[in-house]
Amino acid sequence: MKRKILSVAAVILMSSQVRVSGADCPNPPPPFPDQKGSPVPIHWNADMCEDDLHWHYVIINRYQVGPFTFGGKAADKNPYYDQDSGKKCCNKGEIVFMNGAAVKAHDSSKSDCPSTNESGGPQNTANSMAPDPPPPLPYRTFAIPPLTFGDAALTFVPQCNAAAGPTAFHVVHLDDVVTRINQCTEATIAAIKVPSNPLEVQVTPDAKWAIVTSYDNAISFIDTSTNQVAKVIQTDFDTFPSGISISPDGSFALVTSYIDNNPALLVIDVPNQAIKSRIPLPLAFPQSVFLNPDATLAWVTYPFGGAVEVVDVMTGNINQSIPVTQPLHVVFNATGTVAYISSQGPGSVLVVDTTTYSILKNIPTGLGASDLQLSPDGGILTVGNWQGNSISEIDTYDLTLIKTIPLGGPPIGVALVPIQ
Amino acid sequence: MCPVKLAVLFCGASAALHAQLPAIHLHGVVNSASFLAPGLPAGSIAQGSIFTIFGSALGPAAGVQVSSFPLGNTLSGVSITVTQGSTVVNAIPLYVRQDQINALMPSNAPLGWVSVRVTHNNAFSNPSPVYVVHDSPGIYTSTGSGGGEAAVSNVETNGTLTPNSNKASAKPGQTVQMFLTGLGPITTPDNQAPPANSPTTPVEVWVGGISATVTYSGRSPCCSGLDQFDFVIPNNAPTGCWVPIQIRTTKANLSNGVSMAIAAKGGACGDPENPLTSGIVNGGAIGELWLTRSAVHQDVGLTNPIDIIGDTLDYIAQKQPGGPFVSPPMLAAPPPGTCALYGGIGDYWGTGKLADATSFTALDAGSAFTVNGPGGKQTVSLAFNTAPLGSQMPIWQQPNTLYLAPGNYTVSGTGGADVGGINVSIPVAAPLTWTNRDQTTNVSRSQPLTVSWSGAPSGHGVAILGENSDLRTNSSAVFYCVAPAGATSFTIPPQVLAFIPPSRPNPLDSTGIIFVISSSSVSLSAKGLDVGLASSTYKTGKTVVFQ
Repeated sequence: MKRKILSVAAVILMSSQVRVSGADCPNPPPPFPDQKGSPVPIHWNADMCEDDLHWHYVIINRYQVGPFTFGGKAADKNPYYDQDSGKKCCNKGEIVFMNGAAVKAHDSSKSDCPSTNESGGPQNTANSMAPDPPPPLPYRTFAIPPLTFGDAALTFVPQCNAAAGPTAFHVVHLDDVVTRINQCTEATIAAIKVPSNPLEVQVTPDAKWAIVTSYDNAISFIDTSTNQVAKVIQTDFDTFPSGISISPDGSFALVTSYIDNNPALLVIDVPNQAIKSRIPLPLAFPQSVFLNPDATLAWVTYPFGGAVEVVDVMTGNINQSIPVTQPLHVVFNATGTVAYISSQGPGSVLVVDTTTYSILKNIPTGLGASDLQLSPDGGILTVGNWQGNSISEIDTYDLTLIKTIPLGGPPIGVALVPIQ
Repeated sequence: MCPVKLAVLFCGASAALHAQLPAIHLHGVVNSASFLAPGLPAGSIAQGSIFTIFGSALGPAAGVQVSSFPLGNTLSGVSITVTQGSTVVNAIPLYVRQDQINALMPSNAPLGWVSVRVTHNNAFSNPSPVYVVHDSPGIYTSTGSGGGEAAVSNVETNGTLTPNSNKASAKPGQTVQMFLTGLGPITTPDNQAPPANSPTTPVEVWVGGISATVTYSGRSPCCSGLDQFDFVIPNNAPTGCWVPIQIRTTKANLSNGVSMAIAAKGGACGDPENPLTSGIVNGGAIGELWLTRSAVHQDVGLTNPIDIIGDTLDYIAQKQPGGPFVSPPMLAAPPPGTCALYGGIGDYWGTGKLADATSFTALDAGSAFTVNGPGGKQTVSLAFNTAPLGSQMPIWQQPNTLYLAPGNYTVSGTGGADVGGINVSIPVAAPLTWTNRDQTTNVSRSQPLTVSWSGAPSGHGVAILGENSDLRTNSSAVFYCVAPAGATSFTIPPQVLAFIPPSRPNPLDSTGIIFVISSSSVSLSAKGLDVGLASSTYKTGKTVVFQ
């Protein structure tokens, strides 16, 4: 008999943009991960290239959400905006204003940038033609204390008790801040400054620490009792922390280094707040990492590489490479026997038998399938389809699509919360 | 050749050969005797023990077994490495086949987490994490399933050995010989025939919960990694076809739960308290019908405790094959006053199933039933052998009222292709009270646990069932204790509780629960059934934390 959840509500989190550094010119910057490990497309052009003095926002989508909707209008497809002024920029000769003062004019002399790629050759259009990935978003909100939904099949007890103070952390990427919010009231409890370009946050099982990855070579430990950063691990200059997954016993965490040169998994000694070792990875730009329930295997997503690789945590060996088009997110059933992988490009969820690594089913959900959330009893998988402006529900017992719910905008992050 | 190894080979042949490269299944390295899941307390691999690797493309299509000493590190192109940091040792393959390897964990294997890797014809498998300990006993079973009837021989007065079975029970006071693996490392080379009386790991054994005298413990000189264990059946041991046997080494490490047949005069065993025994032992069509009220108090991991109460009709009919070593889980109930243990892969509280080497055949006994009682008449249709009759809250599509109030009920069914229709009267009594239920939340696995009840209806038997699944390792264990007739309490010994995996801090990671179950049965007759029972059952349960 199927287990049913009595009542849940999907909370749809939305955000809008990411910033891309032009400081690496003339070599294009790498695909930049957003908070969930989704790559920002390399819409590589002169505007980004010639301006190495300040940042651009890149609006990935044609929608307006959140606090960064410029001019209150729906944005054009993938336009660029000046970081400081918030104005669309970079047409040749255009002057960008910030607080009424001219900041910088486009330098038309640097017209070579659009025609070069990382190797100095003609610009490969593959990246610029790549499907739009999800925009950056506050992602991976983790509750403190852990949800207490009971142990077995029958119950799902509504208990969003604001007085009990269930809180969650999420990254505000653009502001270099991690906020802590009350899960029930959604009030912000604290805004914690962290090293620049924070991407993901995860809370240790004992709820004492929130660990934050910052693309700009840092891993931070937030003391949840004080809401302050107590420790920052400064990584090597060529290490770019991105995804994070903490073992259920809290003894270690894995962090991806999102880069094409020497990509790796960093093994973090959580109690000692130090990098313990480094597991080299064979493919470029490992974005996110997801530990299986017993923390013996790390499933690493490569949206650009079109694969999910299963890494033996103890040895660092690759157990399996699973071809998946633009994989973004992986969740497991409670026993780790089944994995669900969102595949953004085709907009589907792959169901994988973790014993044989065979694909049990590929379930179409909606364009831009990204965030996955498994109900506490494991019976329903919720999928955010950010391009399809919808969420889908999958029955995990017979692996069928229950329904797809249209939304008013793109869902960026999905969380299940009990109804009060 | 070691005869018990043959039994081991019967299992685990389900993996299909999908890939060219060798692949070890997730959690696929287990004790070759118990097959217990790595996440269970008895699921580690001992130095010097025989372990099993399940996977695909691990070896040749047809099984190859070693035949003589000295044993080598390679067998039919298969070798196994055990790695911890810079330390690498070779496990000794004893039997290799594409889907299964039995191998000897070297006595000098490093303790703690190691990585096991198979090479077949120069192709490497994935590494698989394995936890190596000094000792972790696994008892071989007659059916090679890791559970049920132990591979035990009765030592006759003339010194000959008779395989213990439901046709050849051991007698109290008789010495029996059992085979296991995992007593620990030896100091002589593993690739040679081992010496007797080694290792000297301290061993305890319980027969139906009664401590027994050990007369030999150590390697069987025939075979690397194979341990022999001789003990005397206590004079006060309970009798029955499935008397639980449990071993513990170094006062800490438990074996799998197995059983053996004991009868006062030897010969065929008997279980007067279990009306199904003859059908199980001799084979036949068995039908079981229950009117059940299940009341579970859930408070672990919940801010506000909740009681889930439901009434169901359940009906199962099956054809048991019979045989000397049959031991279907739960049906093959332990004698009163004892506890049976089951453990294995999967989430027993969810979709997992108890390992069962008895290949019964499900019978079609129909799905349409009518229940008539004090609460009125209900016509129900069984799905997966069950139909809801009532509930105290609107879940699972059950009627939003309880149904099974005390009184007399009549259940009738039209029957199915294999079993004819039924019409049976079942009295439902007022339920018992689990008097110390609310004091039973944190259960120490190292201390006895006394469960007390009152108001058990006259003629009802009482059983205590505990379960916990360690979801993160996909492993579960169950104890099933039968209280003596008329008892108002039962104490579960620590060696039983220690078999259950401890709960994890996050309540979503474990499923700890204990039930007190009372039941009374009447005979159920139908065309096509050799034996049948219709029972009124009350299950009162509570979520617990096994510590």
